[in-house]
Amino acid sequence: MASHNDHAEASALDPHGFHSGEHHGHTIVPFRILVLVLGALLAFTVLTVALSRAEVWVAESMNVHIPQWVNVAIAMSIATVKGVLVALYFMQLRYDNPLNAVIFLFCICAFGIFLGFTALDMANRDRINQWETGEIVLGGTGNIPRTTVVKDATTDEGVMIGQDTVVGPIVMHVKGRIDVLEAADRLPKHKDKPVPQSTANQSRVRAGFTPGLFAFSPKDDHGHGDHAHDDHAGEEDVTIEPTEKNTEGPR
Amino acid sequence: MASIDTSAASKEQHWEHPGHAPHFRSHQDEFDACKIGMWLFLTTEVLLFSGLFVAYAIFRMQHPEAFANGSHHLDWRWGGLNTIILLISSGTIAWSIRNAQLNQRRLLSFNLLFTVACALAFIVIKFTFEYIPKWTEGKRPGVLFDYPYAENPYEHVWWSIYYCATGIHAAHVVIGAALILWVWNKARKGFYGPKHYTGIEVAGLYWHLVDLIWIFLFPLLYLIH
Repeated sequence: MASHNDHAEASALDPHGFHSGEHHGHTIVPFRILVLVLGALLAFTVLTVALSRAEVWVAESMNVHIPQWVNVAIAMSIATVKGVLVALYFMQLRYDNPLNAVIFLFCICAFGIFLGFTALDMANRDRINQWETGEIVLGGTGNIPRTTVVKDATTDEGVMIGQDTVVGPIVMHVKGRIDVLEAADRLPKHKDKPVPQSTANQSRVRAGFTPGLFAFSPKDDHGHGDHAHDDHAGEEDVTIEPTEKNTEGPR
Repeated sequence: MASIDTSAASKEQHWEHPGHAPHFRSHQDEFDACKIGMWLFLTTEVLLFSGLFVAYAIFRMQHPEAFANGSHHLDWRWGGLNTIILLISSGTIAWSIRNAQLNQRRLLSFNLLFTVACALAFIVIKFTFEYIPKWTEGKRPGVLFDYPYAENPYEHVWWSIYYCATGIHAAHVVIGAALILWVWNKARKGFYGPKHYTGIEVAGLYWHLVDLIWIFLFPLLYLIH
């Protein structure tokens, strides 16, 4: 085999002679450096544990409340230094083809994008923007009463296909087929599971009366402190007034 | 030199005659390509753990007390000991590459075995002093959570993150140890030396990544208050 090619001079295809020597790129890391790096890693480990213990001690004995992010920032900085030492010297990124370092940095950037965008999203989940305040309705935007009119297929005139009240049925005349849909049936639910509540992180479709929206007077309990029958108590004069209770804005 | 066997499939190669697969120009090319390929794979491994780290970040932001309470159940001394064990094992496997480059056969064998021993120690400590006591007390992930003295309703979230992150990491420790054992087996047959130590290099990179992950996991799990 043409083994003499291994010792050929740098050629046009390989201007730096990177591939022509047997020992090119085979940097032997000095033993001293390995020992020093290991020592530094162990020292930083001791440091991070010591700082963590010191923070606990300071918080307990001097009753000082140190915010969480300080703890995380310090610990992550030390961890980053340790990680950089491992990557540069133990994984020999310092002595290698720079492409390896680029690949690793790209990976870190990808992680940064992942974490960054997730954090941006999570931090703004319950944010109300000024331009959408008009659409915010007390009790949520599910099941607003409406009347829907469609054109009848045969007579071509408007047909009111139903008054979609909160719990009433919808009757649809579409091409001669009648579908009666109960409002509640249109929504997925399990008989035995409680209906999940909407939170700032996820809104859930609901059917039925919005609790507390059709206001009863909390004082109308006939002196018993018993609110069990309040559902029909104030039905004569149902008003939605912005009282103390239902002006509670989003969390 | 006419006896050089460039067939990569030959099992009885000695390091003095390192062949290379025919689509590479030289052994050096093959070595560089193997390293780049390994770094690409390490990228995928980091992104695997990054999912866990982001999950940790989200749940910690949402339930800080649960995480602080949960962290108090972890003993930082076992975690610290495990960190030191992994750091030393990282050092020995970096040293083993130097041994291969300088043809120090016995040191090479010793360092590779020492790394595997550190990995075993890590797993033994983790299971004996951390996983099993906690599991039997009811500190379990998710729906299996059964600890009667939990101070926060979201503590099962903390335990899910703990078991997932450390469990997947422990799986990687086992895989890394198996890789290094395989490399040690080839090393003791004289397969590796100054002209050829690609296998040690690649297994070493994997092991360093396992260590790197633990360097970040340890403060995030054990040192919160």
